[in-house]
Amino acid sequence: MGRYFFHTRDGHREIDEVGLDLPDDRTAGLEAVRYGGSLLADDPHILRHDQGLRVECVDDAGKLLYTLLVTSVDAKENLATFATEKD
Amino acid sequence: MFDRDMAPPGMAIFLAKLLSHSLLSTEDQAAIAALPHQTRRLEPNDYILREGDRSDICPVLRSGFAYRQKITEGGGREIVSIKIPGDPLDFQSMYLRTVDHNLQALTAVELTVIMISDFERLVQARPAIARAVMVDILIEASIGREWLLNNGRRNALARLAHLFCELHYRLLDTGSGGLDIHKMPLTQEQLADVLGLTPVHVNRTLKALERTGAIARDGRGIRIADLQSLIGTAEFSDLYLHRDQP
Repeated sequence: MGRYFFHTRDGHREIDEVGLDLPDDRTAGLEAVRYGGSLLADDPHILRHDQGLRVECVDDAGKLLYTLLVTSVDAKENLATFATEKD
Repeated sequence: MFDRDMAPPGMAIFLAKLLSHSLLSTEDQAAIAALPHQTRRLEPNDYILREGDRSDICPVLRSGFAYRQKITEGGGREIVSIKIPGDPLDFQSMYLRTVDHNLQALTAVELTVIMISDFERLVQARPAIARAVMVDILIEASIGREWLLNNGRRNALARLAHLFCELHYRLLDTGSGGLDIHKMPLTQEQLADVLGLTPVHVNRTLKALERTGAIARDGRGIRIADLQSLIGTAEFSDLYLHRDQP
């Protein structure tokens, strides 16, 4: 059992100073995914920034254990870029 | 003439709750106030009723908060109802044999405990009391429907704001004073179990709601700071609380 903290970046940094007691690192990693999923379901606009969404799971000592990274790519814009390069 | 101020302390708030949605004659009120009852004190998380129980008591919340919860096989918990001072906690066992959920103290609570058989006799003899029981059950069902909508279709910010609004008005209607005076009684983890969010997501959403100025935090807890702003964020309508009754 340990206390884990889940910080996010989605254009701005949000520090979790409360944290959550969980049985082990593996469960904490899964919780990071669940939290990221919850944030995405709640507000899809969260990915509008170039950096996408980053959830960082940190243990009580401040050690980074796990990072969830979600980004989206606008295929239309990228295809247009490729097309321009070919021409 | 019966005067509600003369009702036993454990019964006065129960009468206030019933009168918030139903008309009861002074004779009906006196009959309820005269019911034999005991006071029970419980600590946070103590069980009041367990799923599978056969209940012969009708507990009424005299002070403190309680909640109904259900758990999946895997241990996932959802708080499906929050009960406030004055709320009868188990009218349904008058009509249904088996308790279908767990009922626990959220804070330290005082209960006024009436025997179901005693209350049943009143319900059979006095139609206005029977009607008040029905209205109470119907309003609880309406609140349950709103919670389904809240958790299913509102985003986290509106969902949290909505819960604040609901508890505020329910507390006001039984004369307990709203969440602008009292602190939100639920912890972050309990809010997560009500709203179907992770505790960390609740913390993030509390901070976001605080930035709008709708709620304010101090060392002792969270209170409503700007009710109109909160109502706006929640898109709250009090219609489902049936505050226009009786």
